[in-house]
Amino acid sequence: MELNKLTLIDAIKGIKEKKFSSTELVSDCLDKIEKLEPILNAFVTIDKDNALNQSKNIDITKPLAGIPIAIKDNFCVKGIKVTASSNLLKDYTAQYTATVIQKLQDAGAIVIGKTNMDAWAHGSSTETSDFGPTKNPWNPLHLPGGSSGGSAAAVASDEVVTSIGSETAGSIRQPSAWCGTVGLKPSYGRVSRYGVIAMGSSMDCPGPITKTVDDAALLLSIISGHDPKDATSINQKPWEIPAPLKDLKGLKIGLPKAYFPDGIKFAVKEAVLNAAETLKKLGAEIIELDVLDPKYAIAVYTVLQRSEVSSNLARFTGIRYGHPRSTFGDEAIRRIMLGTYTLSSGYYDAYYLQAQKVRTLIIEDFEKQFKKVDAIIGPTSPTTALLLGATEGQSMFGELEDMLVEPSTLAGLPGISVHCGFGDGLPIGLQIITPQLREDLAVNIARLFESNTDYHLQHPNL
Amino acid sequence: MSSSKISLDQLRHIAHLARLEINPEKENYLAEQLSETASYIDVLGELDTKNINPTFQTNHLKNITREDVVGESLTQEEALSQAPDTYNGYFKTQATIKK
Amino acid sequence: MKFTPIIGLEVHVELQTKSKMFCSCDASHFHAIPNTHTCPVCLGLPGALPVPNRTACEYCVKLGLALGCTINTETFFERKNYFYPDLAKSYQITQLQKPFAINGKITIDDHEIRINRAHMEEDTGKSVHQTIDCLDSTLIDYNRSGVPLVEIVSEPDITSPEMAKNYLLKIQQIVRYIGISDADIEKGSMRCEPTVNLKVEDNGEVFYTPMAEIKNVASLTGVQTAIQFEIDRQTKVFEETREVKSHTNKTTRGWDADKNQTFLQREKEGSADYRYFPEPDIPPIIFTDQEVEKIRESLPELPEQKIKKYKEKYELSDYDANLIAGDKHFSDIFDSVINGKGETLPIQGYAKFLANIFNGAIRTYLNENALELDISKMYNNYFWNLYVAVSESKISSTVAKQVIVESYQTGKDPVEIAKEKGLIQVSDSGEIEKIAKEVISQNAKAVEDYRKNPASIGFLIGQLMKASKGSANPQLAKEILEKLLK
Repeated sequence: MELNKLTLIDAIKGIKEKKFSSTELVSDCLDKIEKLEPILNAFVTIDKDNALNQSKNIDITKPLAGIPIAIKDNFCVKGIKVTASSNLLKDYTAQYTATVIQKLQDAGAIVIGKTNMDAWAHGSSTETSDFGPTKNPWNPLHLPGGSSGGSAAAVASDEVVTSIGSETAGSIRQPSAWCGTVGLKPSYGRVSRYGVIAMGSSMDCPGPITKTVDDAALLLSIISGHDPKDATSINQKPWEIPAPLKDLKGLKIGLPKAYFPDGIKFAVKEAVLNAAETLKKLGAEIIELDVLDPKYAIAVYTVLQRSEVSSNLARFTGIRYGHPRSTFGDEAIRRIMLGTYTLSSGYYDAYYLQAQKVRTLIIEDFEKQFKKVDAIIGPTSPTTALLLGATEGQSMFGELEDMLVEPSTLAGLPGISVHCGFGDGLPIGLQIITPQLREDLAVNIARLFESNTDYHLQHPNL
Repeated sequence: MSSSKISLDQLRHIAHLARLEINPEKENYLAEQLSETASYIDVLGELDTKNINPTFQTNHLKNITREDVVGESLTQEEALSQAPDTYNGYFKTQATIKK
Repeated sequence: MKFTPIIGLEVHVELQTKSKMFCSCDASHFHAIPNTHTCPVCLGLPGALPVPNRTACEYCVKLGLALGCTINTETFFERKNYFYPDLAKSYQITQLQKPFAINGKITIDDHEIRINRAHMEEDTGKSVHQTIDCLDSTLIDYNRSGVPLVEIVSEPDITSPEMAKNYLLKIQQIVRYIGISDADIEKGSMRCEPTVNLKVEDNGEVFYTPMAEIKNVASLTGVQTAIQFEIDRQTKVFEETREVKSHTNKTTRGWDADKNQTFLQREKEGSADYRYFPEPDIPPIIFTDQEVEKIRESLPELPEQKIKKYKEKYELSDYDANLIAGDKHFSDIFDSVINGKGETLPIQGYAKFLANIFNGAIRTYLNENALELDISKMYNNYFWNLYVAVSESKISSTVAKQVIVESYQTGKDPVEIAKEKGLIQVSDSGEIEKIAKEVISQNAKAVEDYRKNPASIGFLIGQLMKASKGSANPQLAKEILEKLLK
């Protein structure tokens, strides 16, 4: 039946209308996973037996009744291995369940497996996974992006109907752009971080990676909401899916010149400018913007993320769990070292403190821009999916690659990436950034765009 | 702005602070890579931030606390379940000097 | 050369909250089975996040106020990064730039000791070193990991081991008074680390010896001994080497209680780079001015204030005042007994009487039987009745001590007890004269001894007391005997 090809919403409808069972859906997904994994390597753990068992006993009234979901392998799910795709944690079984996962399970969802990522989320390619890279379903010689590359590849290839990833700077949006999926990064604090292995504490955001915008909106409405266990989670009820807009009349959308840097792939520029035209046809006014040079955001992000990483990875000493620190891979070592350096005595003021001050400038710049426009668009990534091996020897591959998404990350703003074209057969992503807590606007613009194109209906030939 | 070239001494000092063992063969390469990154982030010094306050958190929250109420704990078994080495209910590791 | 000690004290107080500082595990850990009060947060499991305990923060503010500090109304937590097995996350959540309380003071014998800060932090787990199967191992119990601690840092205003001890006693007293901790040094709910160096004056020049922080002092006497040892050691070292204090030669020394000496633990303090940065997982904590006032209003009368009151209003001696105010429980009961009598005079006499009874008979009884003072056993009018009886010489002070304890045990009026036991003092001259005459007639030799040596009247008084079953007023007995024997 190939139920794995369904969108989340269609899968839910099918189960609730008893057109097929959860077990049939789970089985189809597992079959596809078995077939494609030798090529894709999108999964670290496939929880086959548990998933099938759970599928036999579902509560059909629940919002995600019997839906199997792929979860990025930095979320703790009690009883299942959680590795962050690292050798250090390759034998570690989670001792508790993350709040996001609990919400999904309470809504009836089934965790089908844990997906591959850049080890410790340190990357934008999934090439730095200690368990081998994930391949791009559109062209397996290419990378899927990262760090949630496994989730994006699993969704794009129809191994699963939907998935959850996390983003610190680009890790949901960028692999979504490279794999042609929808990636929704919520406002910082919208979704609880409790149970997600910490990378950049002041920036990490769990979020959905899905086939359609509506799928992403549905998942966000379930996983969001205040969590008393996360002191940085905003004190709000779960986010509600907004009523759709008829058109974009009256909306001002900004297009920053700086988001088309030198070296941007021509096809990407073209696709995004075409997308802007589509939005214009839908009634929006496109306004060119002069924003703060993203190069500062790269520096700020590099310092803050690596500093927080150096502290967050200190708990991995091999005493209470995991292997010793000697099992950290090269990228983790690089990041921990740089972060330790930027926090160390004599350097704190020049680097960490200065970065937090420049962060204020970035936030103020967005506030200034959002007085002129309602949303900002641009390419999610300056390139399409790069070839395997592209990240080798690059001391800052991730941060440079993610330059277009780092400003919004640092400011805690929400952003969504949607499929808007192809370059050499590889997907191109359009990102939409809105003010803090305005996921509704990002989702609505994305929905309208998606319904006026057919990119989301295209699948790779695997 | 401080010099962005990281010496081997500095490298070893940082590695010690972070309790990381660097393979001596990789030391030079790592020092180069770190120096490259350090040069990049020096661009931060270009901006005038004299009167700017740092932003440590972006969502303007304050006063998030919890009531002083006892909740559930892990059992001893659960707590120890992932440890490589335990002894009589304790986590066990090789001896360290007193701090 | 003149050597003057310069001593600063860092005190850690474990708060007696129900739950831990950043998670809801049970905060009590003394004698708990290892690793049974842990959770993802205090065990430092991947993905866990801290949420601060509001009560603990309020306790810290309360202590700051009791120490005369200024309260920072907006504060935040920071990470102190270092590696040690008992530190689960390899960083401790603490406060650096903005502690809850700053700039307080404590006065010891007219000497002011400034308090730099009082801030909140979390405790580490406990590690034990043991040889298992011939290998040196470290065993770790995380029950204590995450328990709330307040760290109180003094300026180096302390000038002797004795003063250091008194400072600690004062802190302990205040902490217990405001009810935030049992501050038990033996149990480890109050810990202390002195930092010592010396000011050396030599022929008009002034030098300072290198600073040494002393760790692992586990008792009050230990603190005094350790500080004295360090003073002596630094004196000798300076005389030999003339090494002076610099930015890089502060050392950490451990106290060996068995050998009674300090030993070097860590050389250059500079190499402990903690890389502090604001805790990204916890938003700032705000206390409004009204909230701080409310906490200030909830402060009980503090020992300083009580001692002042006892000395000025009730004219108690320094000794009595301190002894009563030393224990909040005791002094609260003492206060309620006095207040039970209202403002009727003579309050000073009554207060003095009560102080003697409390500090003497009752405290001795309680200590001997390891009991706590129980207010339900204190009846205000019993004390007054006893006071009146003693003032009227109906009951001697010896008897008073006896019957008040019995009254505490049985709940009966002490005067009634005295009556029943025939212990009412006879102060009737006639009565005493009758017994005196009998005693004189029966003790001829003693009378002769008295005529030779008037100081030996003691024996005859003793006999009279015996004959009266202790009830005779001893002073009157002496006077009457002397009169009869003239």
